[in-house]
Amino acid sequence: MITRPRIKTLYSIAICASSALAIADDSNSDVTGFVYVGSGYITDSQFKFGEYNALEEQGAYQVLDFRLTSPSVKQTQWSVTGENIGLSVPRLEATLSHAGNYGVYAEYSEFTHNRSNTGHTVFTSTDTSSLELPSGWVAANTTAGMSGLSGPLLSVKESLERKRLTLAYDWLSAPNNWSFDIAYMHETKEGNRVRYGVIGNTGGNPRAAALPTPVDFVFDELRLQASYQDSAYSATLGYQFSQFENDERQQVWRNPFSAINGWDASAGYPSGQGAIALEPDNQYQQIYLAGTARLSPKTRLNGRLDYGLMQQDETFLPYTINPSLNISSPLPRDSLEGEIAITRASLGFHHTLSQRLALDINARYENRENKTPTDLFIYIGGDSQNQNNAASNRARYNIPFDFREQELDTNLRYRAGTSTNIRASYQYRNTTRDASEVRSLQQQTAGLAVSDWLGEQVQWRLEISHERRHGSRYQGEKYFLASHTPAYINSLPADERFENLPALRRYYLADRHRNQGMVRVDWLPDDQFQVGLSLNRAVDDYPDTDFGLQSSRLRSAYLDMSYTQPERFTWSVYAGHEVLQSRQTGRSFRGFALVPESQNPERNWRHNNEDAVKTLGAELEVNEIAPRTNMTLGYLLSHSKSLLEFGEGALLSSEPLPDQGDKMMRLSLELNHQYSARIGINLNLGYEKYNARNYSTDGVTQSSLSSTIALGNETPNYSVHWFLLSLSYGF
Amino acid sequence: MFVCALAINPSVGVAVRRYRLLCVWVLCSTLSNIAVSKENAAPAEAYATGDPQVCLSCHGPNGPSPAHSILTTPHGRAASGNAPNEQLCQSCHGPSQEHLARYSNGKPAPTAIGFNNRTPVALQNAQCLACHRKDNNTHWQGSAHERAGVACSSCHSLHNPQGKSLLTSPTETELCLGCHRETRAQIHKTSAHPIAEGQMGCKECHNPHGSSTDALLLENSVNDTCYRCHGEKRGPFLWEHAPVRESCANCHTPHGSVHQAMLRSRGPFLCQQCHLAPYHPSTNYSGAGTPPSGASHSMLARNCMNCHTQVHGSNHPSGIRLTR
Repeated sequence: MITRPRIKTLYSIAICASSALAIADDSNSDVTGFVYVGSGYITDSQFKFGEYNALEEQGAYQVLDFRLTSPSVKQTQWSVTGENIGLSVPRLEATLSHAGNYGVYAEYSEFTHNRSNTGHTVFTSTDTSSLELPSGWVAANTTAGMSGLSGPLLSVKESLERKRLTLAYDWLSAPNNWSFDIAYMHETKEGNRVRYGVIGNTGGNPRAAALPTPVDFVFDELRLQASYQDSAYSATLGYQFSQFENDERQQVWRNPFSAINGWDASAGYPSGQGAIALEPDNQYQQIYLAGTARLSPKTRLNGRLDYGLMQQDETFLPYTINPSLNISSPLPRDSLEGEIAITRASLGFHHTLSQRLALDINARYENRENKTPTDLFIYIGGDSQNQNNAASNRARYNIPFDFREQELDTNLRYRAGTSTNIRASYQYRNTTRDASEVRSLQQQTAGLAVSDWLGEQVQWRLEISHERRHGSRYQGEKYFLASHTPAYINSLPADERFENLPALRRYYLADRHRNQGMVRVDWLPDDQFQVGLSLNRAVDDYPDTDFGLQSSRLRSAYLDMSYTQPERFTWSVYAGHEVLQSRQTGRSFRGFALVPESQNPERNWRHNNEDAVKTLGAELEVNEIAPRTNMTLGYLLSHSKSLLEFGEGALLSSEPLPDQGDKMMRLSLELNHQYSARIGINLNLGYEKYNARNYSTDGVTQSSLSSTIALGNETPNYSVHWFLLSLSYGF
Repeated sequence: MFVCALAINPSVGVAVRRYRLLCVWVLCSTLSNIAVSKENAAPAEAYATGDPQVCLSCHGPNGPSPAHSILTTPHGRAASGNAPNEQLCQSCHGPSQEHLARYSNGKPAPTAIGFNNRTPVALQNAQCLACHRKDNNTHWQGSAHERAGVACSSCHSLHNPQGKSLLTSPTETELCLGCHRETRAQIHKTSAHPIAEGQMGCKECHNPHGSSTDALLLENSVNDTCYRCHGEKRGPFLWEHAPVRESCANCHTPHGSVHQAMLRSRGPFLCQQCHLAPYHPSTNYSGAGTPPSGASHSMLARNCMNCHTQVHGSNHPSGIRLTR
């Protein structure tokens, strides 16, 4: 919003300053660069406005940017760059290189993601992993009875700050055509986020609350590479190590609700607590070998072989944090010993059959083998019940998911005449999953792309493709049967041994027909004017799906235009319209004692969804609007609308939902006055307005839901003005 | 590897057998091509002598097409193996004796290789690939950009760079969005990565020079690319959510969405595309669950995630329902 346009300005300053001064001095022997100092003001505090630029607070702000570069005639080059110094999103970069010999790179950056600051919590703190309620808390079994919800609550700021340090060294001049490089990245992510936590052991007795949760993540990554290249071959051997560490193991909270039927009495306030496991530490290691071979002037090979290992072995939390609950079966082991081995191989064959005909064949193989051991866990439902036995539905096996994928991609390209290019493609992909509803899923895609020039001014491109995805028999009950004990399965009537409707087809596993088309036309009458138009259409149908996602339709159009009058002005406009429609169906049924409900078509429902998005952007740059003064005017509009329509059988009912959506409009003005050869004065003015409608947060307070204490954050609606006055000095 | 794939999957073998004539033809053509391969190098006399001084006599600071600034960059210092005798300008532009000697209509003949519409893209790119084949460029051949006929010079300018990495635009994002019009609209949606704000660039996820994935992802899969910034979601977890383990894109659209958290659709309807179990998962949700008609836990606040908060996987022994 504010940082983005300035990047363009800064590059302009850098390029103009260095080239102008170089010409003036007729020399490239001095250090060049610029310094940019600015002071600005934001008229309102708006979190959504400052979502990524950290300018969420009303008031003044200062910013510094600079860049120093070594004399360009030297063999050894260096640069130091600073951006957004003074804001919460600073970046510092330093480079040092010697042509053809080595390169050193260092970067430090901070990045803030502001999510919300309008929510409130019933707990007494927002940054601890153990949340407590205020003294004298009046518990109840629904929010209606909680007098504390109407009193003053603690404000919650949901925001994450990322700090990243990157160091890299390239040794380019190792003997015998070798080069080596090493890169290290250290990143921390700290702040606060909100998740919801539930206490309760069935779908009928849950009691949930919004939980402010501290974030304290550390990421480290090391990459080592050795590369070789000669006139015919190149190869890269690499190693990567990534590690994630989380200082917080769990989020614990005091239950604000009193005990209700179905819970152990100890689960309610004041003794009741809940605990959620936070993200466990994990490690990933990978070695890879990649290379190219030029077998002849017309034939090339490229390929890559990878082996990676994902590991996670954090000690398990207990089944429940509630010490009053009975645990008769201990944990089967102390930690997960989780391990996924990933083997990948890809090979590309590229051959020029004649001056006009070329063939590409790419083959890819991937095997994700999940070696995590399987055990029986007899879980405690939401920290609220005593442990059940192995013959109950609480006794579950963990199922490690893995898959294998093979892909063959063939492209035949033909160049007709001087400018016509035709490409026919065929892709085959087979995915095999051991623990999934569909064991084998095959996908075949045929495509055709044609591009050409009409005369010397109009370039066009057409792409169409048809895809068919077909799987082996859909076994909807497979996961249900695999994850429960035989004792429990055998206790069920034969026609109740399922969880999801047997006719459900999960969209990522279902048979699918996909047709896609794209037309793109660019008119380039001269160097000054250009117009481009793209039209896209995609149609997905799921022919074997009775319940689940039935179809989706995407149509979109994008237009852009620009015109440049050299030394005077440039204007550009782009516009987009995108409509995504989908249709899904289901059947409402209530439990296994009511099997006929799961078979009753009068309990069917369908949802039709339509998301429409319009985007319009425009920019006008005028040179010399006044002596030595340039002006840039910008406009941006993004408007979305979501419609949901409902239909159902005679035994169900529905009510319409109001339209959802949002609208963002931004106006900006930038004036750059070149006071002297070295000094520039810049003024940025901006206005942004945002409105949104979201039924899930509009008017929803902590007590709106009977069984959930919501965060009560507001749907963002704002208008903000800003200005920034700055000086730039080039040298 | 490919042979292994044939062995593992008979249907691939069937496809190869079906098109065996084509396969045999390609194989023979390749082998014969390799057998008689000979570099089509131009004779030494086709190259102008005095490179780069003779070139700069016209392309100096005061010439019509100044190119002198390249001498201060690595490309102006190191000769490539494209041309004999350590040529500089002709390393990329090819033998240019004719360009010097023959004029028509008062203009010089074009260079052997011009980085413009007059030279086939493959020929232009071959000049660059002579040096830039390894590391990130390993998969350029056969990549989406290569197949679409994108020239290296479409994005990079050795003589007049506007940004880092000799890009023709001040930022990589601006460059990419010049062609990827749909993405330019998507990044302005209400939920998107901070691309429009300049806090992220396309290259943080994509390698425009090719990769082993269709979308030119920087890593080998969608998930591995996401884990670069979201490593906490890598796991593995005790209780996995199967579509999450396979691809983040099953639920998220990384270029932007009109729904929160860049979801493809909003909850609970997105969840109901895979979960139609008894009671609340299969309920017919509608406006009846929103004020003033009602207040459904599955419709308001974070909908299904009011309880099933661990949708990316849980490591809690009691977390099979992804609530722990």
